[in-house]
Amino acid sequence: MDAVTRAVGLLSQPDVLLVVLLAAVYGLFVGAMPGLTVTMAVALFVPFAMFLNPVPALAAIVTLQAMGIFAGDIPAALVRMPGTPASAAYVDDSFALSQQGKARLVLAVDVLASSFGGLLGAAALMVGAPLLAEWALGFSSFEYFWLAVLGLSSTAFIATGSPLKGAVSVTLGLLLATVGIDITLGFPRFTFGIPELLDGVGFIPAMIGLFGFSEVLRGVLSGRMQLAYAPLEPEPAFVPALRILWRYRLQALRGGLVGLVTGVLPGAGADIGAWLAYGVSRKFSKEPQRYGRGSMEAIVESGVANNSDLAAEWIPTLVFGIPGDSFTAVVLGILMMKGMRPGPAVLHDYRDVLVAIYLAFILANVLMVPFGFAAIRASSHLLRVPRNVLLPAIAMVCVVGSYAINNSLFDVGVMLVMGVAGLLLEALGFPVAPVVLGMVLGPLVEQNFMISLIKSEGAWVQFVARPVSLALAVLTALVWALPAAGFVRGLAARLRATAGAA
Amino acid sequence: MNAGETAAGLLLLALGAYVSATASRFPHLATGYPGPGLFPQVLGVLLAVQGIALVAAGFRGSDPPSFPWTRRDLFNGFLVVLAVGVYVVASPRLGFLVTSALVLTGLMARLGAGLGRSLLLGPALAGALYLLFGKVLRVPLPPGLLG
Repeated sequence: MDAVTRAVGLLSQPDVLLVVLLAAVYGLFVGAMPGLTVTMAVALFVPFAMFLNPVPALAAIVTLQAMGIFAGDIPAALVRMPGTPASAAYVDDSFALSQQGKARLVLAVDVLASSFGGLLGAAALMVGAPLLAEWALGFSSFEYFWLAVLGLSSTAFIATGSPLKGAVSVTLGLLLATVGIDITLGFPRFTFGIPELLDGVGFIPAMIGLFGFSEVLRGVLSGRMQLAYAPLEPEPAFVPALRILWRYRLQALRGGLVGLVTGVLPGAGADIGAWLAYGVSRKFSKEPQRYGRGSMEAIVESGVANNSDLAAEWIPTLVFGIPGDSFTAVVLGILMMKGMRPGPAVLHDYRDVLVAIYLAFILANVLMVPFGFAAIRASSHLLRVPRNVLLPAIAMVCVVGSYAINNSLFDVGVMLVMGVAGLLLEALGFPVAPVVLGMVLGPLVEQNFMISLIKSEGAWVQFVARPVSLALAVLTALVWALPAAGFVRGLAARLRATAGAA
Repeated sequence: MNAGETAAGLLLLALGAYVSATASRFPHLATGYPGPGLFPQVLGVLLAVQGIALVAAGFRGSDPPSFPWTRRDLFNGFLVVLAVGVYVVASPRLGFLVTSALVLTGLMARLGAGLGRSLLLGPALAGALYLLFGKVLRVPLPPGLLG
């Protein structure tokens, strides 16, 4: 109980609360603007996080994310441009409903579903993290190796369009991670004589480029500088939204559960939670024909899932240092920056900070209701901000933000290159998030692989000798089996077709 | 044939081959265990194989949809990239305020914000960024001409 009292004390400092409030507004704004994403928001927030203490920095991030993920539903419903990939799972339903004159109702349901999901996630985090940490104390390099590989495989293969392209993205990310001095011999790899590359490709400038600058480029290339949107209906929506949430309460709980499970799975992020919940929802629904055309049921279930996911993702990030998606990858970077190395120890050594984070989750999701409704009311004004002013401004923020990390113009160059690369990758159908996870998990995979190799003295069977390693290896094999089966089936079909034609 | 995929596949094949070849020349650990070269080599081979698979998929695939971007928008995109390049080169000499004001004004005007509005908002936003990053966060932004 003292930890809670101390955490409340930490959180209720006026400067911390101010930062949280500003982060809430920032998250809502970025989430609600089409073309700006929550990942961009947190990447651009990092320069500020550097100067804040751990508690306000992390509380701000929690708030920013919770608000942003909800706010992404606003442009999804109003202009069919999801503000975050997670909102994309139900964008067709949201947009259809707002075209039917129910925009305000849809968004109200979104707020309440998001808030509920977030609180579920916070509860899971508070209970789950210490439990998992206890269990993870016995983990060795073998387990960490398989966990990282599982995470990378999940990212590449689960819920991406093409498993091959997902795998390419992961490999590219892993390759980027090899740039710099290696851990075994201190040998500079792929630095081409550039001293700034000895530390590797700057992670934060790369993130800002991949998620901030590439979005700017995409916005400029789309040529859409003013957006047309559906107006909000005048009827108040709070009570009707509550009734809808109650009507679909079982779906809400089920969605929350799906979100929690995908959150805890390393490598699977918020986007996947919402998509999975949507699929599950449609499968079990009594009105599957409405899905895609305006199903409130779908919105409730996926909306809860993509917020319950958020807190659950912090569990593998905190306990194993394995992020669930690009957002938690940035969180990981910030934790390391503050000297909080993830691992079972961090839950013990930084107990007060962590309890403060749990409380911040609760605070953010409670605040989401009044703030969210205010944002809905302001949404028509937000959408009127001219993009030909907004996009150059964000481009400049990307530049200064990347520069600010190390006072280095080279980092600005990294940001630029990665921004263009991100644009090209997405244009060709390659997912970008696996690149980031490859960059983050690359060192983890390599380190634990080398340590395990040296420990086992060449006896490969050691890699699956321990029970948890074996289980993780089997899980990884299962994740690989899905696309492999698809590939074999495709091959067989093509062979049959050519045989039939002959 | 999906030209984009095939081209990407060939690029990846080339990259994978290059990485593998370079990494094979990295030193080894004294005890004979693989050193810094192992991982990049594995990744290089992986990338090359994926590249081949992509080329195959590209040959089998259908024609991709026509280029979604207009020539004007592509040019604007190129200008944005160029603007950042200009910033990197010019800011040490001209300073943050001057360079960013120029970049912002230029881009806004080019994207259709109107000359008057751009001339007003460009320097204003540059100033706001200077206050936020230079003063609040104390990032040492180059003073340049105004120093």
